[in-house]
Amino acid sequence: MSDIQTLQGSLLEDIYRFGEQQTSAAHTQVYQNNLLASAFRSLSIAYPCTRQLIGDEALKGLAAMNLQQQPLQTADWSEFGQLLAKIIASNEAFESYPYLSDVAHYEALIFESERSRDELFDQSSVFKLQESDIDNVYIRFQESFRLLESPYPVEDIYRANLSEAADTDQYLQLAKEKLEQDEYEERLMIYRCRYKADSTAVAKNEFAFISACMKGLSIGSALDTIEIEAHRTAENNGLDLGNVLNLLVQHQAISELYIQ
Amino acid sequence: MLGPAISSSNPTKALNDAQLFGIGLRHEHYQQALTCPADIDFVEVHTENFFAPGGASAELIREISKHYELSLHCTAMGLGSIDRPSDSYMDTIARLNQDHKPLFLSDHASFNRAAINSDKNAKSIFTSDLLPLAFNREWLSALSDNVNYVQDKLGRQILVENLSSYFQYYEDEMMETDFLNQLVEKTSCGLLLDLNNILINAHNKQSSNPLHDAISWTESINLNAVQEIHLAGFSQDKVAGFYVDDHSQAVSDECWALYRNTIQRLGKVATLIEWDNSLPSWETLVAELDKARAIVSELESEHYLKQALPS
Repeated sequence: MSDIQTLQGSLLEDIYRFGEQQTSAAHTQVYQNNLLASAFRSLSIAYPCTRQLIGDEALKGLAAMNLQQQPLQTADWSEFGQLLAKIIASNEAFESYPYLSDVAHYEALIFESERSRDELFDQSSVFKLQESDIDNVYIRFQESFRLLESPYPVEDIYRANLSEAADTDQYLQLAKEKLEQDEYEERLMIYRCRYKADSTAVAKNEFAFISACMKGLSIGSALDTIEIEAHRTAENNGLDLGNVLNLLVQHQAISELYIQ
Repeated sequence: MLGPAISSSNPTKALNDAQLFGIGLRHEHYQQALTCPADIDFVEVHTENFFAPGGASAELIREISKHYELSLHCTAMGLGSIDRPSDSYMDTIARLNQDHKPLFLSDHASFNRAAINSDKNAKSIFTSDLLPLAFNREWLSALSDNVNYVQDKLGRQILVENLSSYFQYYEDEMMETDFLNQLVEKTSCGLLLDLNNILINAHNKQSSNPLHDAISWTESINLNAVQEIHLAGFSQDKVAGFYVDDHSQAVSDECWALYRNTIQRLGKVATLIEWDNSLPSWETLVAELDKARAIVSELESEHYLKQALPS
């Protein structure tokens, strides 16, 4: 390696040794402090509810862990923190908050959604449903659209922590009631209307249908898939395609329908 | 290479004949800057805060550019790094440059990434900081290559800002001013003179007279290349024994004195106040800029101010 590569690499390496500050040169400590402060600030922006739940000191600790497990790979701080939910899930310190990892995952999806490209729904593409068999019609979802499944009421926990004070108790109560249910399952679609990402609950069969379409199945194949699953589990499928498509359009989840 | 074409036709220098005054626009002031537009010539935003292709931040920068001329100030090109800025990074900068056509587009004489573990094939890791460069030919070559690459990619001149630093390399072979002057010769980039950074470096070198040393620094730089000046303040609290460029205070008296001295020799030049931490009100920030206006007016009325530098 050339001198320049060696020198630049060794300074970077020293900066990432922020767990061993006593051994670092004084100037390195300035850069270490800046790196940790930037990482904390970045997580604070993307994970406001997680921050509320665990406090600043714990979030600073998570920022440091995240940097150590996955040093920055790009210059874009918005890409930092993608490991946060996994780090929380594998950390004993957070065992008493079993829902925390899923809350962090929910926040990551909200954050991604809010930064996604602006898209419009091509309304004329609805006629593809008349032009072709649904086995050949596919849904192209907007970049801002996401799905999330969790055994915890993450949406209410999020709202309880970030809503206006007057609404906090209401969301806390909802979250408690759901936590007390046997085998509670939350299925959410995360979408963005204008600039604000939000979420709404969807039924199990709707979730399965949307999920299958997002994996690249045609509308017809996705319907077949959930019907087969309904037979297997002896559950009533009862999916109204019109209602689901309407739900997706209303929540700006679709950019177009297309034939392949 | 883009070099000669830029030096023969310099759009920003022409703009500077009108003397522009601007403010670094930060998140806390977005709303007020849009609802109560101030009498300023341009605002500077940190480019990386507007990388999202859609959503609120994309709309925000569109709104800002309707009210003010823009300067895009980058902090993550890492121009002194061995490898080039990534394609995705440059594509985003190019998109923002295309969409908003900023007056200035700038970054720093610094690096921010490197492969570690002595493996030249290893993927680079990044830091958020502006890491200083060694002032020698090898590092100048790396910096010049990247500046040329960025200017070619964007089809425009960029400004390169001098850095505040908390150490010097044993590998230094020349003065910082010689290093930057040679960069200008090799790339025809412009310079963004951060007067606060010059003062901080003088303080951190334990100078007995930081203002004197800073003036000497500005006397050694190629003023023809300077397109913009940054003014800022720094905290007197030391971190790990250093004064840190934290942009947390009003512009210091020392920095105003350096500004006055510099523009006496430089003439009219775009001037921007940076204030990033412990932000004052929008009105206070705008008023801070009035001090710069007053200095320029005073010098102009006393005929001290050069109208143009000889080419």
